[in-house]
Amino acid sequence: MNKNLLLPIFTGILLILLSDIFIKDNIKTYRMGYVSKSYSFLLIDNITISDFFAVLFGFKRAKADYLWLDTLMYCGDPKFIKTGYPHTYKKLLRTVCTDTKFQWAYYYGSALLGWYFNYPRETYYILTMGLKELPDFYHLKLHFGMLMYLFGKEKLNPDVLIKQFEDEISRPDHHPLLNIMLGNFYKQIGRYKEAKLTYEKLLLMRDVEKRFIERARNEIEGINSIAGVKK
Amino acid sequence: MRSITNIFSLSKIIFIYWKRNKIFYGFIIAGILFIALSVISTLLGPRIKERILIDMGFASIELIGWISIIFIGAVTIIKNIDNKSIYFYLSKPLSRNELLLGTYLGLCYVLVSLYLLFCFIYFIFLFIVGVKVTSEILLVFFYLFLKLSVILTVGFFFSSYSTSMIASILLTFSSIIIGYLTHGIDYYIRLAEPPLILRFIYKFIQIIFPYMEHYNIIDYLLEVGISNTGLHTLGVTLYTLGYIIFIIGISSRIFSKRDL
Repeated sequence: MNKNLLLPIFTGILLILLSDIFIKDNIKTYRMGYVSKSYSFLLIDNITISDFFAVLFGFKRAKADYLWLDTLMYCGDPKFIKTGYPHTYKKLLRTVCTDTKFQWAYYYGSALLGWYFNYPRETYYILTMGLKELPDFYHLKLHFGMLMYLFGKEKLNPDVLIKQFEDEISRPDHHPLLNIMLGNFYKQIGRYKEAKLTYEKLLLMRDVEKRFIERARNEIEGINSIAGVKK
Repeated sequence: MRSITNIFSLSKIIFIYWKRNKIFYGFIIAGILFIALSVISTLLGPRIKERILIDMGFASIELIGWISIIFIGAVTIIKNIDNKSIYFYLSKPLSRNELLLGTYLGLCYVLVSLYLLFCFIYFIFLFIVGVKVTSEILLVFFYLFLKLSVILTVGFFFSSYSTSMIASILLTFSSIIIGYLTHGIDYYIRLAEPPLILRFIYKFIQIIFPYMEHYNIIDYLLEVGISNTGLHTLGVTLYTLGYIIFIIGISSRIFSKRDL
């Protein structure tokens, strides 16, 4: 047996074992978190084996892009106007389950579902999932506020929505528009005290644009003028 | 010294052989079409065209890289035996190990030339669409190159002992799939904390099959960023080098005993 031939084998094994020292676990398991999360997509009825393999082989983002484009194609097809685009939610859910950090799919998808096709409950689920995955993506919070404003009273449970919004507002870096939206919603459902408090919180915030401050002051004045809330 | 000259001379011959092969041009055309398709798909999603171009572009390069490298790596030695050119090489003052290393080096040239060409075309498309080439994108390219090198090595290994091209391609493909699945086992082993013997068996599998998940860093890089990846990149580069040396070492042992 040629001993020279054993040298590369042992050198190789040594290098492989040595590489473990430098390889970081958080990076190594980063995608695995996705894969395990993405197993949840097996719960969706129309999941295919190709989605699973795409995630497994590292084509997660490309596959999610493809699914998103497919969703857009579906939403742009005029033959589903009469039926009200019933598969939009499933297609969107499949997209965001394949890539759970696909921020624009949450953003545009929730707009499509909520404002165009009128599916408030499904929009709520998509936005809740999006906010859980991307807590710093404030665009979703604005959509959440919009959803609350449009459907909160009639079709969704206002308390659940308010809690979500209060949680967002308790974050120090939240967008001031969220205060305006929550205040408006409180006003809409007749809870003027909470509305006033929400606007006042905005006035205490630092580095807020002038237009938001003016808006909050006007709203507080409006509430003060309503009987029962005035001191 | 003579040995190194032999290896380099043979590698040039292998590179020229593939350069003159029609299949090589087929791969180039397919690669250009794949990348062009990723650019066309940006028209369908104009608001996220940057993301689509980056994701689809990488996927295209990886996919065509897989196909071409598995094919080139897994058939070269078998083809050389089939068309009897291997006997011509061995009739010269050239040992079997030199033949093997020279062939592998030649295939590395093919990989580098194909990869650089695809990257160049991709960068042109990125420039046309107006997407800025960031350090994250460059690092993803580096990882992709390491991944393709490992795939080439696995293909080459099966080519060194298999007698059928189809078997060699299928075995390469299967090994790569096992390489991807190893990560899943790794994840659940961490959760389950099995006995030491099972961990040892798992480590053995991890050494034998390529740990492909090391190279799937695109998600991390594009979502978290390049920071904290320096040492990881060093580790993955070491792993790739180690794996290539290990597999080439085994190939040499097998090839030196093979009946030709």
